[in-house]
Amino acid sequence: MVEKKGLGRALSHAVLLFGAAIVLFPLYVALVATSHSYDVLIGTTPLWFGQELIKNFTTVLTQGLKAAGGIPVWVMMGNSLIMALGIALGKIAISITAAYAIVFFRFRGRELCFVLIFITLMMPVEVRIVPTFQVAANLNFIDSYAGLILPLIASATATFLYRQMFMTIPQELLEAARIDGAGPWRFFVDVVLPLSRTNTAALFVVLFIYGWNQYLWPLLVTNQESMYTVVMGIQRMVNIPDAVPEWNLIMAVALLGMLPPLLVVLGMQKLFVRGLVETEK
Amino acid sequence: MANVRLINIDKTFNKNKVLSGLNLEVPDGSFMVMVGPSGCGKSTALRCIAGLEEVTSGTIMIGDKDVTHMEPKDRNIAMVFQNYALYPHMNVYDNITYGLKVRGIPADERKRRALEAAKLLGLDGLLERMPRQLSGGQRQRVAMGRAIVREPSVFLFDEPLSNLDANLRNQMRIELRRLHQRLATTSIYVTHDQVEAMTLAEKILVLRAGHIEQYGTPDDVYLRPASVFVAQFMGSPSMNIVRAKAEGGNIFLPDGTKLSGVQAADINISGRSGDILLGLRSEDLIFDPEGDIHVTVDIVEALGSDTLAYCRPLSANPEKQESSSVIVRLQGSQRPASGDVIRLTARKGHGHVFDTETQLRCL
Repeated sequence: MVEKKGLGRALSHAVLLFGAAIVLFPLYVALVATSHSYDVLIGTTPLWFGQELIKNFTTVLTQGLKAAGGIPVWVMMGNSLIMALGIALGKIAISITAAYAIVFFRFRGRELCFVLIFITLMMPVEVRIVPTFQVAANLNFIDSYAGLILPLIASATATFLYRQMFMTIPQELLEAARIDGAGPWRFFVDVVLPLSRTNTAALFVVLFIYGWNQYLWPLLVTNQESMYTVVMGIQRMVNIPDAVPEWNLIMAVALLGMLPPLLVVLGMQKLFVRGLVETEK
Repeated sequence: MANVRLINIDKTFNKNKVLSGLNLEVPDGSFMVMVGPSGCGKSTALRCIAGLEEVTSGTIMIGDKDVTHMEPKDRNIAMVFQNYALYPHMNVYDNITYGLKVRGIPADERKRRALEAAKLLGLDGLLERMPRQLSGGQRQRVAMGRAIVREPSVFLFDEPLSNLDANLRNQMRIELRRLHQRLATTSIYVTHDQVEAMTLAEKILVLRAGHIEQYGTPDDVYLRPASVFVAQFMGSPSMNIVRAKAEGGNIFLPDGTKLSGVQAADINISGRSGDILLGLRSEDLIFDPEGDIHVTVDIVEALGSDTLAYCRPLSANPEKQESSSVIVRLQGSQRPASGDVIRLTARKGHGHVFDTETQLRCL
């Protein structure tokens, strides 16, 4: 990387600060809104903090919004967490085993399997959402964690990424393991899994956020407030018939809802970046 | 400890015959080198012995066991790969002991064997290192360590030194020899480098297009090559092959020059007359002001200890000028210039005669 000096350096910092300000401003507004009582927010957008920050956070965490069913936000966050973890871990488990089969086993129709998986990459989730709902309903998946997780658990993208990564593992490594006496399972656990550690971390971050941010599907598959997820819960709070939205509380929920993905990214940043840039072979 | 026998091995890849009718016995405790140009099937043969490839037909025996359809792990072999194939996420110690761990050998026994192998290979201080922190030569040693600790009955080497630089290769070659002298485990070694083959082998197998061209000791192969192919493949520079005629116990070059050094009787073809192929190694053509062979120097390569002169025979058949060019090894101090005409004699008693049709050695 080129080290800049003097004016060039100041300029690049100015650009970066400007970019950061643009990104952070909405968050700042949300935080400020959280610190006021709801009547302050009707028709105005205050730009400085009020007195009720703690109170509002306590309210949403313990009681939730009365008008929107009164579910405490921690319940929704719990639901979101279960869904996001289920989707991320499930996708990883399914993709890594599928890719392992496609890359390391010789069987009839191997290429066909891969092509079929690959084709589903080209189809957006929304295309199949009605039939998926039908299936989920028939299986009694409405208002259950299985309903939130299972229909979203297959991932062509992750399978594809693992396949590409596995194909860079030298054939000799497999042969050395065969001679060492490791069967397919041993090879998977002792060699393939450790080698894909950084890729898995990167994928986990991406998939966790994907799962956490699910909106349309949870909206369809849950009816009871106790199964709401945070992201769709916010939408429910905004659209309450015959009531003024309590923006101070809604903003508090939005901020809380952003927290877990942020923590995941920060916690796995090191591995995440390595997984994206490094090949450890 | 075991001998290895291949009986009528055929191997076909998509109707492509890679090995045909291989019959071979590697004696117990010997070091056998398979050599040949790329694509001759030597690596395939090795992989068949390892069990990484299934043979199309035939039988492979290791010791008294028929291993033809056994998994690699059940054949009691260990293999060293060209690119080492170390597990990149395991340190040296784990790499060396992984095979033992999989086989359920207790930890203290694993440790004992690993330390012993490390000592033997000079890896003592490196056991905690990761493969990427090792040099090529050290990685190669780890790969060998991994093979040694298994205490297999056969070692298989697939061009293990070809990724190393020339100096290191010479050094590792000597270490390999020393190792073999110490362990005396039956070893099968694949290479395309005929120097490695000559120096390491107790037995050399020259393969060509999936069949055995010659199988014998290095001396057999070098001094009595079974065919023009073997003669030209083994030895560097490769053997000069010139068309010649045998008549009445003498040998004549195509232009009628009678060779004084090479007599039919010396090379056991007294009874033969007519066209032959005469093989003369570069060191068997001697610079001699009185010599009966006249050649024009084309290109000179000074190697320090020797000088190689690429020459065209003066009176060679103009259409076949390329094929009748010869390489002469001169002393390092002799530096003829390009275009010089020099005179040579064939060294007495040296020379190989091959049939023009079959290209096989005439006895």
